[in-house]
Amino acid sequence: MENFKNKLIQAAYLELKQEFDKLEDKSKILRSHTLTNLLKSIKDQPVSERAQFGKEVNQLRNLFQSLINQTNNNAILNQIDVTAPFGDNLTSSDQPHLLSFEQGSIHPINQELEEIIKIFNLMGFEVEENLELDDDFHMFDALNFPKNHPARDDYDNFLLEDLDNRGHHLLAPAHTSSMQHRILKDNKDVLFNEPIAKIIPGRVFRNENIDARHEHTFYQLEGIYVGRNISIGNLISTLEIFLNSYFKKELNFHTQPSYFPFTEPSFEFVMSCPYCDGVGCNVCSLSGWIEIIGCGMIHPNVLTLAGIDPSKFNGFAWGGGIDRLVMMKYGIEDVRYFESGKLNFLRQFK
Amino acid sequence: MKLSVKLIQKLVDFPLPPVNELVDVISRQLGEVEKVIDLREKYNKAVVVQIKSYQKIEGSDHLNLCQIDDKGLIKNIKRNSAGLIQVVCGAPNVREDLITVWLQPDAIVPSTYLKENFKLSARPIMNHTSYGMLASPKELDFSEEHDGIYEFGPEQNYGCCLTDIYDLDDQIIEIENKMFTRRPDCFGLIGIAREISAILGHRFHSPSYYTISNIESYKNHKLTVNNKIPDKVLNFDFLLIDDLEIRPSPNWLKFNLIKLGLRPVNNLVDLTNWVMYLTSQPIHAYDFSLIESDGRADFVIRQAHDQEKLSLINGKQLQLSNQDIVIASKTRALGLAGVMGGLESQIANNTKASVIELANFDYGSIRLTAKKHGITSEAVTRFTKQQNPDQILAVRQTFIMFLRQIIPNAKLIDEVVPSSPRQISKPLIKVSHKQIETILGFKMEIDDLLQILNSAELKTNSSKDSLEVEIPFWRTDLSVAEDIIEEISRIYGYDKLPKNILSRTVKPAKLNLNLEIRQKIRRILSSSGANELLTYSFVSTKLLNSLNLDEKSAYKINNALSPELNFYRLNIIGGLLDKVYLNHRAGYDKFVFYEFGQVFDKSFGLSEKLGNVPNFVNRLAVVYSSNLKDKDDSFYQIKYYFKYLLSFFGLDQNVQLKLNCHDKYWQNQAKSYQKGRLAYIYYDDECCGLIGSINNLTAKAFKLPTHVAAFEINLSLFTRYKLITSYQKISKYPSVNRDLCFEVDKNMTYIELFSAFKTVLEDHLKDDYLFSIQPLDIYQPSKTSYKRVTFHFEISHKSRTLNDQDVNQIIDNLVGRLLLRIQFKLI
Repeated sequence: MENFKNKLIQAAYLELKQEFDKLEDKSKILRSHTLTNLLKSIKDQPVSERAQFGKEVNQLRNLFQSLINQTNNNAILNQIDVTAPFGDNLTSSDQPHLLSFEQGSIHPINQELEEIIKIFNLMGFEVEENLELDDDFHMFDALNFPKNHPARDDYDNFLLEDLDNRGHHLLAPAHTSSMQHRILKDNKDVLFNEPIAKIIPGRVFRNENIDARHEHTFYQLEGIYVGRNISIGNLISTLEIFLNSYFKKELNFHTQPSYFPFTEPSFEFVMSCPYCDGVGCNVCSLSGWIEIIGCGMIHPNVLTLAGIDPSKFNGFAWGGGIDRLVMMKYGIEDVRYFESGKLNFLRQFK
Repeated sequence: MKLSVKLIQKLVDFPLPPVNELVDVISRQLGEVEKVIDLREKYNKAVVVQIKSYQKIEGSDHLNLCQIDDKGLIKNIKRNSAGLIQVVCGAPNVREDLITVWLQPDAIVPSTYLKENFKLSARPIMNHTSYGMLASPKELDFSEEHDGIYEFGPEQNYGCCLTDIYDLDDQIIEIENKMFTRRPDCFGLIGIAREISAILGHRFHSPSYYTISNIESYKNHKLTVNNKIPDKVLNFDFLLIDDLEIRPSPNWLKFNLIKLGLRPVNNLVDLTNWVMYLTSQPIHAYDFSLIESDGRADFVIRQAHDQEKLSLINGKQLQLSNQDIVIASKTRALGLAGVMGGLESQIANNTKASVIELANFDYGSIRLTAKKHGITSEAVTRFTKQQNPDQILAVRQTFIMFLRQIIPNAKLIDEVVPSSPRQISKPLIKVSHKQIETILGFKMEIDDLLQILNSAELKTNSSKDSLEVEIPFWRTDLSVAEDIIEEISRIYGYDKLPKNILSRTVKPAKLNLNLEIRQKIRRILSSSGANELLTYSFVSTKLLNSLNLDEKSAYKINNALSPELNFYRLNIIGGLLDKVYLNHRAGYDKFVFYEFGQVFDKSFGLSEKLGNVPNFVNRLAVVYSSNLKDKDDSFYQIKYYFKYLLSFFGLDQNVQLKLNCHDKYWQNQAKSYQKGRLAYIYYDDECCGLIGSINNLTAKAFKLPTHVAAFEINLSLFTRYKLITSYQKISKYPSVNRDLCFEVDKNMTYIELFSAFKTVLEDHLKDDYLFSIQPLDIYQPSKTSYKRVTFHFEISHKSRTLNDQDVNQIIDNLVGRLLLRIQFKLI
């Protein structure tokens, strides 16, 4: 028990102590009238006692501050019965309830992914999940990126402090293609009976400064198909069927050559703009065309590394960004909204 | 890579299609076109004129009033009686008879074309109207020079548009460099012209000067080269040239470089750049006088010494390390090989003799050096694409041909080449017709195949089963059969290949369980008013501290964009709590957030299955927050959501909440929850999550209101879902309802009472009765040692109607049995 020389302060202390024990939020004691009145009364004290009085009031305040800290740090306060369905002394209307369904929402990126996955499921593709932390081998080596090749410069990886068992920095993968090697390897024996048909949706990362059009964190969907006697036409028709089904209309398509070390040949898949039917609008920057997917025939080195004989089997792979699809669909003006956690954005997506 | 349509036209022997068609073909069959610049528009209002007279403007220290002559080319402009146009100009090199470039009053300054598009006008300067302006090389986008207006030589015709001379009525097509990551030859105009020929169906013939035959030798023993790293420098040619006369390049060369975006320097440097732009092989020129001693120059190609210093042409001073390759004299580094030349030995106006270096460097080393020192250059762009060491002879021939044209008096007096005789390797790639047919999806006629490959100067031998393709010295990207098939399909046109739809069996695709679970949870939570968020996988030290978590167990990012994104998150709730304050501030009083995500923690170790990379756990986190001033029921709110969610998976009976936990990981996670208001989530003996109110310290750090609670669980919990949840038969007979109020010691937990009651009910009634109990109310008067828990009890018999008396008897009976288990009083 503390003792204060000044009777007024001593009385206030006892009062505050009682109040403190009852409080649920202990920090409220510092805003108690008893204490604030005492603080206000300092200036009313006779000049000769004022300093001493002020000092003691301050001591009192500090005492409760340290009590608050103690409770926060270790004391078990207001133990409640966690096994109960609700708290004590509540009327039934105060008992827990669900919030109004009207305010619920599903993130637009996930809504879109669900939609895309559904179509690929129906086309016979199975889903594998990606990894948000990976190594140099899966990001590059397993995908036929030569050591020190400038192709690596197109991917600005976040590098981790920790090293993998080959002495390279672990990294935040910059494409979902990092999963290709694992999936091919895990399914290499299945191939003798049926093709590998997989899609990999996932979150990927690039070390670039963010603005309305660039995010360091974004979503991709990767696809791979390996079987016997697969042609470029198989790849093109698969993507056409998917895109027509996703946009629910017959689009026009063409390709553009591109370069990825893990596919040969590689190209960009370009579709006529589904929002203006190729006439030209804001979404397609007035060109009537939208580059939507990077793709190609899987490089034989990638198959060989995964234990698949490229003279018996071949296939194709593709990858595309999800964020841009969603932005185009809704006309979202800033990519940063996706990870902003802002309800005024999120609640628009039911 | 920029290409000029006119220069390409000179390299091919058929008329190119209109530019828009050419761009289309390039985009679809060579590489994406970034932009097309029409020089006719850029220099639309630029006219070659002569200054006839000039006179100082009174009151100005530098402005002159010039009268210029366009030979009457431009109509509708004010002229003096002599037909001259008046322009005010402040350049110091204004003089009579100077032939220069005039921009008309409504011209867009070329250096701002497609950027700020700065448009001129006729405007008064110190009381004199200036009709347009005389332009500096910088304003014309010719070079960085801005000291005076551009000067043509006296032989230049004037009174014509700028685009009428030196092929400036040209269009520049810029192709994305990324497209040519593996096409070293496409960083040269010859390579691009070859590709364009092939895709337009014409056979390409490399220019006669780009050849490896008729190599002349020049031996004079003034040069030596000691290559100490033959594994990194595979081939080189050093040529010594004397009797140079350094001066500005002839205009055709100057303007070719300007069109391609290069800055003219002097005839020798321009020559090296021009040959580079044709062949894609970077070339460097040294001033012989600055490196020779006793009339000899001895070069060493070696790795740099640690901390060796070198000043580059661009003025940058470098401190090198032994990963860098340098071209050195016996005493010091002269240039950073394959990246940029040194300042000290660069070509000057008085250079009389020069050493020309043609060399091939290991592309990986060049890439590392350029990255480390942050240097980009035309040489780096090209060398990192893996130039073929065998092309050096052809480049040498090209260089000598243009040297004789541009600096006719120069003499080649010495050379050094590698000591072992050079042989051009001609690798062969064999491709089976079967494989070509498989990948193309149809059988292409042999003649068509050969035509395609031959048009790109790929020599072929065809047999019954396969093709043999000889790989020319300018290509390093062709190594396997698939590379050849790419060439065939690309040049033929991917879009023309038959679109064969894959066939499949009726076997349905297996659904991914985790995904199915997430989809179901999304539907449940979002229809209960909750909002799905996505937050970053990366968090700050501050956020981890706010959760009382030790950053030592988090994976740290070395090159994070900001300290806000330093670590991989150690849980999902942190990111959600971080979004609470901003939404309350935006006016939302009460909400529930949820997020699915991967959590990495060093304590999870490595996953062998994933290839020895860090293991992770899939999680779901849900956060409830309210800033309304009612009683804090946050714990029960979040628990309500939790139980509600579990009930959809038939798990509510199997999952238990426990006050203690032996799992170190979850004990740690509990540090952001409030003691006495948290529980560990158990399934069997496995702790798989945590539920509770957020404690004051964490709340304060995130600026949370007091009513915030959360749960976070492993998603794997839901994989134990029951396909069929329990069903209770419905009685045909009416049920009787009673509210039963138990007074128990205040320390007895609800679950003790509930379980005991339920056990007794099940033991005693299960065969003949149907029943249910629902909690109604918990009442605890202050300063008492008891509490009262009221249940709503509903009972019916399976085969008859119950009356009050029956129910009273049943309750009496139950009470008796329950008293054997726990202490209570029925009120």
